[in-house]
This record gives sequence, C-alpha cells and structure tokens, in this order.
Amino acid sequence: MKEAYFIADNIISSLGFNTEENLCAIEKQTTGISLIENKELSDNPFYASIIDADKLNNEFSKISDNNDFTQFEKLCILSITDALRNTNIDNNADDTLLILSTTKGNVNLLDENCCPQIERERSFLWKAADQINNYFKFKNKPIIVSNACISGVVGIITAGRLIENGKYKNVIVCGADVLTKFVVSGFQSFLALSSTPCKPFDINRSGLTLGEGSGTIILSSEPKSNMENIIYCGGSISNDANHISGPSRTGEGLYLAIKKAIKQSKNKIKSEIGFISVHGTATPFNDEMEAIAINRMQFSEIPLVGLKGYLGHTLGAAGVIESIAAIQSMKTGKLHATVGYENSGVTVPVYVNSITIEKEISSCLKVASGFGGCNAAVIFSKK
Amino acid sequence: MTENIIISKYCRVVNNKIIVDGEVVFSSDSSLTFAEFVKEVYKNKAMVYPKFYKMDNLSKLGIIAAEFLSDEFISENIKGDEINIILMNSASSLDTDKNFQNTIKDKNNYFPSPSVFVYTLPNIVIGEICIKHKILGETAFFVSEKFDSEFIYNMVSDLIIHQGAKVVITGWVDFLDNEYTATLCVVKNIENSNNNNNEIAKFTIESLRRLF
Repeated sequence: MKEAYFIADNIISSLGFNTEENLCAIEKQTTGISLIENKELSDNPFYASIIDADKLNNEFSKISDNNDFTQFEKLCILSITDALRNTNIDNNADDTLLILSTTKGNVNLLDENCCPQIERERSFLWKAADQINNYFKFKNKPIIVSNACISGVVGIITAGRLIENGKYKNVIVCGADVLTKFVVSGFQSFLALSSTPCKPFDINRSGLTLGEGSGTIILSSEPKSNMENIIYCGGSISNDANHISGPSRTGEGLYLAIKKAIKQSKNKIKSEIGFISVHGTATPFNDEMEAIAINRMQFSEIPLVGLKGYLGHTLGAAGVIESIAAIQSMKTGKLHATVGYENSGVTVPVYVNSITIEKEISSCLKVASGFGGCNAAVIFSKK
Repeated sequence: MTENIIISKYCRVVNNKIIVDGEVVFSSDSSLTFAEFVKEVYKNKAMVYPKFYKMDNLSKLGIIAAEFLSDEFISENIKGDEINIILMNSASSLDTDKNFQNTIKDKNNYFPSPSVFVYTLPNIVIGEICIKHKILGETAFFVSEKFDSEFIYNMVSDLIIHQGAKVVITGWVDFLDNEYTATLCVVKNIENSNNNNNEIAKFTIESLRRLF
C-alpha cells in the first residue's frame, strides 16, 4: 500500500482567503462570527460567519469572470487555485482527481431571483462540479460527496484510500458550502441556532452558529521534499442506526468509527494521539455525544480542539477546514483554543483546550458527525 | 483478492415494478403515482413500519428496494457493524429541496418545517435504511450524473479487502419530480462462508456495468 501525504491546502472563510490568514486569526483567538442583519437570509438578525461578497468578487475577478460562476463555484475555484499554486500537479494527468464535498452546493439556484444569468441545471451537484472541474481542465470526472456534516471528512478518507490503493497519484479534496436562506431557515425551524456566537462543550451552549467557506487539501503519493511530512494514517465511517436528526445518546456510532480508525492506523501512527479535533457544533446533544464517545475510548486526558466558535459550522467545508487546521497545528506546534468554551457542560470528564498553547504534536484524530446518524474519524500523523 | 467477492442479489424499482434478480416480483399499474405505488408495495410486503409514511420520496424508494434484499444481509452470522452502505444518485435531495424551497419563497406564506428540512440531504435515505435494519457499518452517499461503476467498485472492494466489511449494499437511488429509479445490490465476501450462497455474478466493474 502507498502512503498518502498532505502536500498543500487552502482555507477561505470570514477570517481570510488562505490558510495562513485563517490560522493567524485562530492563533490570536479572533472569531469570524458576527451579527448578520441581512433580510435576504433571515428576517431576524442572527449570528454567523460570512465571507465579504465584495472581497470574494474582487479576488475572483483576478482569475475569471464573476458573471460566469455562482458564489459556491467561486469559493471552490479560488480555494483550489490557491492550494494548487505551490504544487506541480498536472491537472490533465490520468492520475489526478478532484473530490468535491458539499451538502447543498448551488441550492440557492432554486430561488428564481438568484443569479438569473446562471443556468438552473447547476443546482445539480454534478453539474456544478463539472463547472469547477472544467475550469481546471482536470481530465477525470470529479467525485462528489454529499453526506451531511461529515462530507469533508468522508472526502479526505475517500482520497486517502484511493491513493493508498494506487488508483491516483494526486487527489484534490475541496469542501464548500455557502450560507443561503434555505439553510438558515431550515436550521431556524429546528430551533438549532444559538442566540450568541456558539459555545462548544460549554455549560451555557444553546445551539450552533452557521458559517460559509471552502477548504482544499491535496493528498499525494509523492511527499513534498524539504519539509516535515504529514500522512493520512487511516479513517473510518459509521452509522448510529438511531435517529435521522439527532445523535445517539450513547455515542456508540462515533465510538465505533474512532476504534476502527485507530485499529487501521496502528502501523502508521508515530506516537500516541496528541489532540482531537472535535466536531463540536455546540448543540446540547452533539457535544454530549462526542464527550461520551471520547470518554469511552479513555481519551479524557487528550486535549480537544473545536473550531466552530471561529468559523461557525461550515457544513460540507467543516471537515476539510478543521483537518487543515489540525495538520497546521502539528507542523507549527501550536494547539488552538476552543473559542467560546469556558466551563464544561458535558456529563463526563473531557479536556477541552481553551487557550492557544505550544505543544509538540506528532499525530491527531479528527472526528465529525451529522444528520442521518453518520460519524467519521480520521487520523493524521507526522511521517 | 477479489475472487471471493460476489453480487448475491439485486433489486430494481422502476416504472411501478419491482424486479429481483431479473424477475418481476411485484407490479402496479404504470398510471399510479409513486405515492400510490409504494403504498401497494407496503401492503403487499406486509410491512409494519408506520415511520415509512413520514419519509420523503427518496427515502421511501430506498427503503422499498432494501426491503426486497434484506434476507441477504439480515443473518445471525452478520453483525450490524459488518454491513455497509454506499449509494449514489444524480439528483441528490433536489426533490425535497424543491418542496422545502416552496415553504420559504413567499414571505406571506412562510412555513419552513424541520420534518421536511431534515430530508434535504441525500444521505438521509441511508440513515433510514440503517435504522430499519440496525446497520452500523460504513455509510456514504455520492452524487454523479450516471452510475460510476469504476468508482463504486474501488470503494466497495476497499471496504471488503481492507476495512473488514462482510456485506456492502450498494447502488443507485434517484428521485426527482415523480421520476425515479432504484437499483440496489448486495455485495458479499464469501471467503469464510459455506457454499450455499446465492450468486448473481462475481463482483467486477463489468458486472456492475451490466447491472446499472
């Protein structure tokens, strides 16, 4: 089996248009969440992490025509462009593949007032993915993952397996979702949105905060020279078989996914897991379920890092963005703070990291859970 | 390594017909709507699962197709976490997305409902099948214009060879504007099982192409 190395990445969010800008803000514990007063998204003001539309259009105008693409497609194209910049990947090669992870893609095209110049067929995810794929002249048809809030992590696991099995040399995983009235009204109808910026694992947490963004991470069977390499060690997915919109109370599904991911990674992982990048949506049930699963694994001493307090829940992008941040933590030795967390609000002991600290880390576990009872766990390690 | 992997059964739901391993096992008048058709299937199968009526069309379609295959994956020898589901379609959850959009487009008639919103994700059909049959293994949903035999072959064989999967339910479940097609098949690793396996075909890219 081949190794899958993480060779390049990009994050676009309210905090910046590349990985460095985002990580710089996160290390300073700066949040990108603000009170949004936009009648097109919601009649009532709500907290969210939003990308400045003028800045997005300005950045995009440097590479292509704003009128030809939707906001979702622009986020993907800008993110992939920046990630590819420092690689010498041949887009047209038989062994290069794009994986796109998203929950809703161009769902705003269902609103007839949205971007009238764009053909409506692009509300099909594969049609939107074709636009993006064609922009880069990737030869292979893209793979699209649409698996609720674990889409990003499933994209990375899929890429890791395809490379390990020698099917492709370079796999570009892009996760993205935009904030739309569709998504905002849906989460509002669930009464799932927090009336303050979200507070993962905190006693006063009362729901999630939405966000928008894109993240791109490139996996390759060829390591980058002259730098410390991080590899994909293993990953697993599971289903709770319990409820379509609520996590299991016992954490059984996530526990199973973590256990399998660890078993698979046994021969590749360099040391004990240094920290866990949690899903941490700040809904009462999600964080409790995660804490139970982590506790059952006897991981209550391992620091947990949750990033939803910076970027909100970016849905299909979240798993990719949070994995990039986790990999950066391993490279820089800076463990990020779980902004919004003050006092533990889960019923079992876990160690939530609340301030940016220096820590030598050789490996980490990233977990995610979502609607449909799905869970995912993936392990990264220094090589 | 893949010679012990077989397709043991398949079910196709199309034009108000249910076809299992090539034989029509149930059919309704083609003029019936999908809702009327699945109601007849539900009765015919003597299903007792009231939750079924709360599901969206995509989930109903997947649940029905899985129902006709369940004797191939429900067994004392197979544990819930050894069963996996990988599905694909073209329209994602657009059928329900459109319904939900209709509830929010008019300010004076604004009634978004959580019970509709939850179905605006394509992987919910997998969640429903898992709940019904206590399936705890890997589940993933992919979107593609057409069934991607090569990719599905790669993912399913990796699950069986490297992740310890015994059974993978895989296929196509697509629903949009009352047009639908489902083709599900059960893929099994028969390495350590007895010889009494129902076998439709060896699991290869070619056999997937023929089926889909």
